[in-house]
Amino acid sequence: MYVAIVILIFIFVYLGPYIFVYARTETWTFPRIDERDIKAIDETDPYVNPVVNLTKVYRVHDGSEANYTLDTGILNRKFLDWIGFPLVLEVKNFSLKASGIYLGKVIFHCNYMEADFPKPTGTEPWYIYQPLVDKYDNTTQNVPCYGDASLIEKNTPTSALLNWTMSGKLVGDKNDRIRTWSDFGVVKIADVRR
Amino acid sequence: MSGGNPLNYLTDKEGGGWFGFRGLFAIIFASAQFGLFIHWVTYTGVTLSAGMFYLTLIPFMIGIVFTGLLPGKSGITPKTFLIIAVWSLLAYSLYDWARVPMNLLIGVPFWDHWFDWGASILGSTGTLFTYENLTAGLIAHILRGWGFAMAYYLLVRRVTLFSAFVFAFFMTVLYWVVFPIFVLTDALPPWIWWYTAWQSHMAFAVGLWLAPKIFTFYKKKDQKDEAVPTTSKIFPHNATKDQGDQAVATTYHRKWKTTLYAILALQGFGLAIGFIIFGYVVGSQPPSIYPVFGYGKPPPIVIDGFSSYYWAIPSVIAGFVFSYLAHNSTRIGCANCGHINANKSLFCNQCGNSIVPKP
Repeated sequence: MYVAIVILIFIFVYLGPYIFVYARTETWTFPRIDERDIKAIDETDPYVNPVVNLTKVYRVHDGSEANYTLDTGILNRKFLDWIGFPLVLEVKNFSLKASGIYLGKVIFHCNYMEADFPKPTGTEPWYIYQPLVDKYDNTTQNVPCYGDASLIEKNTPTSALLNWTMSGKLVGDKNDRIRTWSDFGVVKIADVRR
Repeated sequence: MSGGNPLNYLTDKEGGGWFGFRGLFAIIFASAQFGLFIHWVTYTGVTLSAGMFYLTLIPFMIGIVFTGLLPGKSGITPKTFLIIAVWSLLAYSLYDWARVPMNLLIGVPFWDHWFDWGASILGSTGTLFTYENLTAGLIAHILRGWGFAMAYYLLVRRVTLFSAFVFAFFMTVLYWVVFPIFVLTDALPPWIWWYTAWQSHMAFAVGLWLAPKIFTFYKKKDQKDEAVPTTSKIFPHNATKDQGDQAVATTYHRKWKTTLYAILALQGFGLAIGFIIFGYVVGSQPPSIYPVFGYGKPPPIVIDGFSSYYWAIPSVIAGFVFSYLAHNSTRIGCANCGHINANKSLFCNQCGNSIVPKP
């Protein structure tokens, strides 16, 4: 009996901290990660620049084509993980579909996909990592758009109605979710051709 | 020291010195740490699975084969090996127990790296936060703690509280240096991180010292004449008997005051190193707005008004004061005339009375 009690005490001494770790992981670590992931995913915002740049008009064999760029992306990717360490939400399979309408006609459309948004790898030294976290907090990029230039040849529009749909898979520490945003609004068209 | 020539610790004719099989075995069984070390210093460029394969598994296999091939001569035999392998279980258990209240009270997430290690060992993709990764990382952590305890018992010929604290302080300093410099999430740890690292390693030291005592306590019940508080044969005068390749008991005793003062001196000098490293790490990193650790309101990285460099000064002073007290406590007072004699005196310099110290 005495030996059995001693053995049980030794087993408890030996395994106790690890039982504690698993119990805390289940009741504290994972719920905390879930909570912070969900909050971070919820707090991301889409970004569409209200100015579309007309960058180029050129002839093609049966007409002419216009190139535009639209600055778009996802904001507020930065979040603090379960230990308070700053991370950047991964963005996978980002897609943007948009069309610019002027006088009832579609003057350009955008159909863009990006497999992964840039993010720090997590293996950098701190002095490199921290600026990267801040840099990628708001990640935007110039998405190329195309349209029939004949529609704007006579009168280059200064504004258009933009319909857009954006989606992406947002990946946190442990959770991921596909988010989709749609909206429409008037955008300015800036002629930046040289 | 063992009482004989102190250089025997480095080399001895039978190969049991630090430059002999003891040192070799200590390196081999501390190798689990080297696997992690190469993983960190390459900023995870070398995966932990590769590190542990080449720098842990292969050395362990060589070590076990060596143990069988070299019985007795170095004082390390399969039997002594088995005994210290069992002793080594306690130290890192106490180490982890000491961190448990730091999580409950302050929120120090001491197992956060176990997920990273597990993912690197298993080659997991996707989220780090799975029980598979946690378990693999936990086993790697246990292996390192056990290996370091093995290294201690292999290096020392007599387990003393002081040598256990010296070894654990070496581990603490290694921890203080490697994690903030090479591990991203520990780049700017708050002071509580430094404290937790220190106090848990001190618990490790207590475990190193305690394990042979527990073992001896139960061993005595079976074999009254064969206590086993040391790792191998002891040749000097204070050994009760030579049992060849078996661990033996000794009558060696250091005064508790000497041990206490020596440990406090060690803490003084060791914490001075810690404060200097702390100051260097905090001062050399770009400032951060991110409060890592804790329940959302972590303790400050630096307590305003107290530069950590300055804390090193009283620590060094305390180190010298306790060194002096430790040295003085080994001196022997003559029961006849009260004269204080040097610590190895057999007769009083003043009155010639016999002053053989009581154990």
